Amino acid sequence: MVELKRILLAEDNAYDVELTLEALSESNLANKVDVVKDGVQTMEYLRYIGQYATRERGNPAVILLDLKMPRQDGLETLAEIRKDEKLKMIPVVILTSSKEERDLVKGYELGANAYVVKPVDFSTFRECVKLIGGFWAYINELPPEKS
Amino acid sequence: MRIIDYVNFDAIISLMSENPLVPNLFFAITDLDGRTVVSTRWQRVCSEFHRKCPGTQSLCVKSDLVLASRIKEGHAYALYSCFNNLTDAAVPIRVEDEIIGNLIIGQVFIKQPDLDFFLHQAHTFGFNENEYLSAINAVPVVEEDALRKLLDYYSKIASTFGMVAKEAYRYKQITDKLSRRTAELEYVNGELEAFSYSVSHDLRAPLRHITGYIDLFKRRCKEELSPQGAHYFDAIYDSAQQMGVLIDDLLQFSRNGRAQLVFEHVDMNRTVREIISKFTESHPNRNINWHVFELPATFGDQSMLKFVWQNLIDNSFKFTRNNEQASIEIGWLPEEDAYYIKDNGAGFDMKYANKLFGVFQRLHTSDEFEGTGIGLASAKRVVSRHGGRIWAKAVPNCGAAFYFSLPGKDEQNG
Repeated sequence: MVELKRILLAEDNAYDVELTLEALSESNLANKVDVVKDGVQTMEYLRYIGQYATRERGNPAVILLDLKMPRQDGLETLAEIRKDEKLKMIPVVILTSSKEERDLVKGYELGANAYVVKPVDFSTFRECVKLIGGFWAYINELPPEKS
Repeated sequence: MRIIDYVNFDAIISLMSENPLVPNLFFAITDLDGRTVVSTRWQRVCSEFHRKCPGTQSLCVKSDLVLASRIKEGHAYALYSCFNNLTDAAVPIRVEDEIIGNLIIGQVFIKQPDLDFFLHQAHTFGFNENEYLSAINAVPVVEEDALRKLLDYYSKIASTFGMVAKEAYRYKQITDKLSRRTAELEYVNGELEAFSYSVSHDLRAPLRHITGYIDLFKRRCKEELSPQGAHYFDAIYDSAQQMGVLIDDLLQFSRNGRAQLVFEHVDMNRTVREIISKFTESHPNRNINWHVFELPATFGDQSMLKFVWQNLIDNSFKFTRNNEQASIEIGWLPEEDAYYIKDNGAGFDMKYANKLFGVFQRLHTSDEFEGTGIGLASAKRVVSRHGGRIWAKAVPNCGAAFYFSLPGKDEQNG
């Protein structure tokens, strides 16, 4: 059986990580989810650097990217991903707390595939995460990957 | 910068040097420190002989100083024959009560020149005799009385230019002050922007965590929860959610106050139609009689005005919730020059009308009608920023009417 592609969650807040993972687990996705804590780790993960040197090969099915993260924030990370020949086609969904217009504009300018504002209400958030996971892991056809 | 720096010297030179009586009259304007800021029509005898040769130049400087000091002593004007036998005259240039500089005219003879004296000068200082004498001959002869009249006339011209310069100077001071203020405001605005950005991110996250964990607890650990406990959790959940709404509304309020208004032609009919059709789509169960009359177009910020309508319609929608037959009317009142929206909803007591547009002010409890008390404050802010006015009339249980007028009514397209 072909190993399902992973979902990469880039989120620095431990509570957000837990709640997002809970919501994803309820959507019965078979995909494994990996978590990175900031932009620097995201890039290390994608490029197999440091602690990620031996991780399974292959780009994730989707990156759920928080905007406000320490060291290297979400938009900087997105820009770096889109400049990298090997990574630029990975679907990136911005998953953030705020609907700031400039973030929205910047996000899409940099080539985000979707922009989702995390609702304060958790049941809505859960539905939201389920939809995102389901769409990007099942429905969406991924770009071919060069090795 | 000083007032004298704002004098339009090009204009002054062209005006003064076109004097038909003495066409080649030298004149100069000096500042209060004695520096020449403008001068024209120098006599060759001065520029090419006296001020070039060290021996005669010292005489020129001496006469400059004497003139300046006489003016400084407060003389209305000073007339002075220099050591090289030419005459200069000076007056202070007054603008209101202030002296901004001096006007000097001259390099003239006030009586026919004594050629023997100048021949002697030529020998003493080694000037070419012919050239020197031809320069002397070019010097105009203006009698003292005429020179005074010219001086008087020229000083009036100089004062007039000074007056204009002072206005320019004042204007510059005001615009400088304005641009300093603008820079300060931009800085403060930037800070506020950063602040509200941080609020919208960082304040919402913990609320999401509260509702998230309560939700998880209620579903995963149900058996550990008594009915009382479940009620407490519901209260916490609701409060967290309410705070989320509050934060969003406050941010919107602050944005409405700060965001730059982009003025354009706004089709109010279309704006209102769009909002209503969204409402009816998302609330198919509400039975509302809409009466929407023709609205004149206006000149304003499209999205901000849409926000105003959104809030007012939202309100009418909300406060007619308990009506069996809700009715909402939107139109234009020519005698008040105002747009209006009228409903037959809960209304309010006019006694509290002054609180209607205050931030966080509510005229109904959250049990009756939910809300944060920011919507109308926000709407008022937008209308005020357009230079308009918003007000309301209401009767409890009979309905409310809101009016707003905008000065930018688009006459051509209305």
